[in-house]
Amino acid sequence: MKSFNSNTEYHKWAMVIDLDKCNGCGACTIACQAENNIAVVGEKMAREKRTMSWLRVERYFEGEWPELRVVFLPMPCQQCGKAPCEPVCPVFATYHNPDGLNAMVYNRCMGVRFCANNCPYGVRKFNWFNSKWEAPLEQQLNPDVSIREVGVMEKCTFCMQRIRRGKDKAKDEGRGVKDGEVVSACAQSCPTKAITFGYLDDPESKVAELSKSKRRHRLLEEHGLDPSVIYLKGGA
Amino acid sequence: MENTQDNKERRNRSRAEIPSLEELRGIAARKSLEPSNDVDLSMPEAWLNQYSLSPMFFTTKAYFIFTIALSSVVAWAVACWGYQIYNGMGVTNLRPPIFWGMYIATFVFWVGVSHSGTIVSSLLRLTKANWRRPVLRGAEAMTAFSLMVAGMFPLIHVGRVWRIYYMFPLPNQRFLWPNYRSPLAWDMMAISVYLTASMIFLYTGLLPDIALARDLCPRNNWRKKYLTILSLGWRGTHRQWHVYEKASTFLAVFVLLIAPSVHTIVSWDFAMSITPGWHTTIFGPYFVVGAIYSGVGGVITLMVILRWVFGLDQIIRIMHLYNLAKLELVMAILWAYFYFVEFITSWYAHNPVEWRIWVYQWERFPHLLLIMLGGTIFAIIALSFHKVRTSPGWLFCITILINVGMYIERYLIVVPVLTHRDNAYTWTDYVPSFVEASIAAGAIAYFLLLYAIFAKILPIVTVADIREGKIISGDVRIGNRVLRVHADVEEPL
Amino acid sequence: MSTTVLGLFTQIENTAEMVRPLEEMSVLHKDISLISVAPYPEGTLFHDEDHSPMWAVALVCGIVGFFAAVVLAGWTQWHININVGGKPTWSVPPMVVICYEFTLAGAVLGTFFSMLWWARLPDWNELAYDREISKSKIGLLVRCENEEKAAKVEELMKQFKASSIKRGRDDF
Repeated sequence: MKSFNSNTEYHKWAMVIDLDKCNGCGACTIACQAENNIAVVGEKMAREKRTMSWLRVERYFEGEWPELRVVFLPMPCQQCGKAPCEPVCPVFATYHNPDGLNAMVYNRCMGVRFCANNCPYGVRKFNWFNSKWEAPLEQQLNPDVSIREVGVMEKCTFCMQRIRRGKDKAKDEGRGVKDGEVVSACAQSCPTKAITFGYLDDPESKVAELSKSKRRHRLLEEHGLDPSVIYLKGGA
Repeated sequence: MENTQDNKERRNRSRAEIPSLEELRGIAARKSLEPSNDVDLSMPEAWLNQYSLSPMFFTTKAYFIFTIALSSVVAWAVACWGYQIYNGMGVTNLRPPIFWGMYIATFVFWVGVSHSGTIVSSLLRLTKANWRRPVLRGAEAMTAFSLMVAGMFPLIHVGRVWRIYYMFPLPNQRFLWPNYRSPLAWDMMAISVYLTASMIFLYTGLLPDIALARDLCPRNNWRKKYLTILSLGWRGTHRQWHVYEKASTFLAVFVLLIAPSVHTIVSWDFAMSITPGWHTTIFGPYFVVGAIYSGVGGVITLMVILRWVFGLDQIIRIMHLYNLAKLELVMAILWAYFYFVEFITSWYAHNPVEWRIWVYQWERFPHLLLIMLGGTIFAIIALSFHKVRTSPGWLFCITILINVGMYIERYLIVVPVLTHRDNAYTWTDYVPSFVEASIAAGAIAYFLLLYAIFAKILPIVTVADIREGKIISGDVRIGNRVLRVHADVEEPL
Repeated sequence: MSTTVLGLFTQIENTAEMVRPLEEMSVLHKDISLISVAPYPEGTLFHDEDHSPMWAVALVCGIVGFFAAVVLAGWTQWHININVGGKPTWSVPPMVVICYEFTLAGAVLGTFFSMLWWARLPDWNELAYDREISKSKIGLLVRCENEEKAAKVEELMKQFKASSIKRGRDDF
């Protein structure tokens, strides 16, 4: 399949998250929220687990008090290579784009929510109500990202708008996208640099290098979904 | 003065071409029938006609109260749906990761109920079971109406119902077409095909009865007009009957082939996913058997209601309930077998995610599980007794219990699997909201309302079929016993 | 101009017995028909040949339905060749499901409409008919080429205890 940009020969974006570097600060969640115009739903909805955050930091506890250790697991959409959410959509609202990303067409979605049922990671979010931004908060919305209507699914896009901009710039300059040129909002904001973003099939890229680590693993691999998010854990 | 009185009386008499229900019952009582026998075919044709059409032409006050009550429940449910559309799906208690809840459970339940109508009707037609005749119409109508109810639920369930036409292959400028790889698209196709087929099946069965009602309908009755149109000018010539019988047989076969495929496809909405607890090969047959089990229960319930509400106890006899109850007993045993098989495989294989779902079910919904499992076991035991199988009251209670159990079963298929997915971080709980419960209750009212209206505007009893029974049957005396025999119209081989 | 005589009978035996004299009057089988509220078995009057190959219509319509499904599902998958979850362009399971449903839908529709066609429905003409048939009577239709013959048939019906006799049009 041809890529959107013929200057780029790579077509597999990936993210490497080093769990040993993650301190669970949640900056990635906030950055994502700001970058992608994600609705802030308020306390009541949050208590109902209806938060809209595309990236959440999951907390797991190891051991018994007082020998307690908290483990953090940032969970964005895993952008599966064989995404289970895609074939079940009856209207092609979610599909695999040529960048190897699992894209969401908001205007096409009619909200049957089968995709979310078929996602073992539980990263798909649904617009239960229309989202509102009280003045002057609507001034800080990102003009590159559309606001989602009530009744549609949404999820992490690997900052699709940043990828587009990076590829457009590279194309204008007649070259391919350089490693590190496109950075997702979560990776950019991570204070411990736990998140790395780039082309997995570019052998020179940092992501490709990290993905060869012995500490690598991917989540729920028994389903055979070929997720694009690689976690590093154990050691250091 | 006397003259006008006379006229009035004459007019009344012409209108009352059909004797009152009391008169009809009087005739039946005088005949003092054995309650377990088939329809008494020694009754004169006029009696059979008028008794069978009496639900159409005689409306009691109870019927009005019943219909108004049902309509208000439906109106309330529609208001709830409007509220949901206006505000968004947030008015339900769905939350990640429970994206399907009570609506889908209700959808599956009603699709299930729809199954037996056509399966029972076409099986009995094809095997030429002579006792079938009074049961057919009620069963076929049940299929059509429960499918109409089920068909509402995908609309109620989706987040943007105003975009539902994306599901249909409607030609449009940019050729945005449905994705046939999705089980939901198969489901949509299967349900529409099944609805079309069962409507045609129902209508084909109705055709001679509509013609009969057209002829017997008093001239000034408002029903005359549409009965004339719907009867298509049917006269019942030998040629028409010949073609008609052939077509009924063909349709019975086709409908029998469609029905199991539909519920299999509904089960594939779950089984084709990768969700543990849903992704099992047993789901196809499991759903089909469950559907027939719940549907035969529904047929029995409706038959008992028809006997009570319309006083059709001379047409829908104990014998018919008895035969249906035997069928239901077989289905109950099969269903218990499926429970057993499903449970024992996940118990022994002990897939941790699947097992967690069982444990959760047991901890969270012990009362529901008790009703569901206990209900089936109770039904098997109770239906084994002759006394229960011949008692309308008992059968009514048992079949209601069966269908409550089947509703719970569907609910427990949808909900616990979703609350306890692979990712333990997302585990949560779900209780349907008031809006969801209202709409689910509205579905029951909507179904009953459709059925009640149907009984008022079209013949609910298969008059022509019963009259055919009268033609081909007779009584044989063996010693002191008189037995009913039916001539077997054999096909040339 | 042919005319049709409709006699109403109470007993089916009377109509059956009338067939022989009618044959002797050189009335053809195709000009005789029974009208009844419920089907009488084949051969009640005489053995008739079957002229409606409904199975063929159902089969053809089923095949049409099958290919409609192949075109719909297959063409869609080919035309909108979007990668969804790594499924191949030609996914077989969806095709199987949709073909099955459409085949049966075609067969059902074909059966239904061919039934209407062969039963000559809908027919809004005023044809020879009587409401009494729905109540308790059996009607015997005899089509006659001329008035003379019709008069003879009427005479014969009276002999066989017809309760009433009517004239009308028919196109059976």
